[in-house]
Amino acid sequence: MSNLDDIRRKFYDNSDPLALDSSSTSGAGGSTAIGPTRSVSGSGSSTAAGSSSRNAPYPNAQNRNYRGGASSSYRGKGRPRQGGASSSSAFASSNDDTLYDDADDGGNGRTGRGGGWNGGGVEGFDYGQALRTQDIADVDMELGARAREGVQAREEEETDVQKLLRAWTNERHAPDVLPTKDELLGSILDEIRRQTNDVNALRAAEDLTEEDHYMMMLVQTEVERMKFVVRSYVRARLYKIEKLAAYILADENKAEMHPRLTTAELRHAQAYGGLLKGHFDATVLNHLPESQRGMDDEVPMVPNMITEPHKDKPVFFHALEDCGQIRLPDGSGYLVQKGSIHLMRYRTIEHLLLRDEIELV
Amino acid sequence: MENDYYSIDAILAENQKVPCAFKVDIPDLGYLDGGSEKDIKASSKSQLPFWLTPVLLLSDFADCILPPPFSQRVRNALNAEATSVKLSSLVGSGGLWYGFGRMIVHVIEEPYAKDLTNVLVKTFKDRLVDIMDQAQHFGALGNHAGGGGDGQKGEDFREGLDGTERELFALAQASAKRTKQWYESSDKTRR
Repeated sequence: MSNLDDIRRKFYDNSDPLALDSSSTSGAGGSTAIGPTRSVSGSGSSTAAGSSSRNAPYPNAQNRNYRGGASSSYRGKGRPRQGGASSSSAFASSNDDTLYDDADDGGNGRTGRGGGWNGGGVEGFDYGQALRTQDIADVDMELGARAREGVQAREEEETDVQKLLRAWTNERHAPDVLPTKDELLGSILDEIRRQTNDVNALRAAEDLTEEDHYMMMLVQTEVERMKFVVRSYVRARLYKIEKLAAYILADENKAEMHPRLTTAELRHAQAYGGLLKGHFDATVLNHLPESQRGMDDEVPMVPNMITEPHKDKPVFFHALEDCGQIRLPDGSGYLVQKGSIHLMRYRTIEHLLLRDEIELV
Repeated sequence: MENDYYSIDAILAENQKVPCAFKVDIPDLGYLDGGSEKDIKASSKSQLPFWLTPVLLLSDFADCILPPPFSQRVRNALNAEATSVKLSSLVGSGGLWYGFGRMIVHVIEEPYAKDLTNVLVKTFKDRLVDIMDQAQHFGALGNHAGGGGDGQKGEDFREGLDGTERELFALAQASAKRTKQWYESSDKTRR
């Protein structure tokens, strides 16, 4: 049947972005491996975790990763991240060119190689010259414009899967709820459904070779992985929403927080917040005198009873574009170049994350 | 253990006694001291839990001094060799020395706050190497009771870990164990 042959050809050709996309799904055991690789004495545990997929060609890597039960990450061929440099040194990670090591994808503007003052950074942009002759504000605007172009170029070239994986790691590392990626999730779910239907249709065919069976198993594994990532993403958001339910429902935060949630999430936050408040009232607050019943007391030295997002949490981030000068809490500026990795408080780089110019790692 | 009202870690860390001296008379609250007095007299010393102190300090009812876990004597010992100090004997076996230190840092003024912060950071850095080393060693070898030559020293160190360090130790040990299991399982099936 020509329909089944089409499906078969699609899977074998690797033209479908969800099926067997080597650039997006090969790589080291996911975010759980990032923890040990970052620890101080990590030599023991990091080589253990990293060697699971070091230098392995794609099909073997997939089998090994799946048995380890690790979720997939799109980070290159398994070299453990050397990053986590302290914020006081503009320390560009030198093995950056393997971070986005796509087998098929050469010469991509995303493979940022963070360099020193000379030669690194945006092409054709002479920092020295610019800082001497222009105002800092002008330089920043120029860099801002270029950064936005970079972001847009990247938007168009990336596959949905890569975007989802990045959104997933960002959501897991950020202490605050990030803006929702509704359409992205929708298209990924569509792809999953389509692929599952295709495989089911193929199953019904009579003339299946051994190779066909093997191929279908790989495709289904891929689908399971994507379902895991989607579920984990939604779970991470849900955890944060439940934790910050009172904060989200407070009046002064409405304008900021409500656009970041989908309608379903907002409804859940309201229901959950209502239940929690009811519980507190019934067990504790109603037994106190009238004046002590509020939850929004401002007592010095005691944290607010409405849990606020912990924006001073330190996060590692990887700069995808040149971000220019960032204002640090003590007032000084700090230059962030494309491809470099730093450790800073979430508060200082939050605006960059919302503009998609950096990603959390 | 962020700045969260509901954080259990923060509540546990605050559960330490701090010596305070009252500045005014407080009628009818003599039972706080565990004594038999009816009132608290001015300039009488007592040990109060740390979570009471911000209110007392702000309303100027009492004065507090640096609690014993962070005294000069302890600092000297930490300076000499951080790994040999038993943090668990300073704050009790379930106590959180680092957590308590962080809470104090928010309350006291510069430059003492900066000093204390540096002490905390340096101690943590020095002890971390030993914690991780011991965790990997025991996790990878399975259930070796002595673990080589320095069994006694290792045990002493492990007893002296405070709450945060104990958690780290447990996590690292579990992680090493699971890695080892994973290695062995994949070897078998490859053959």
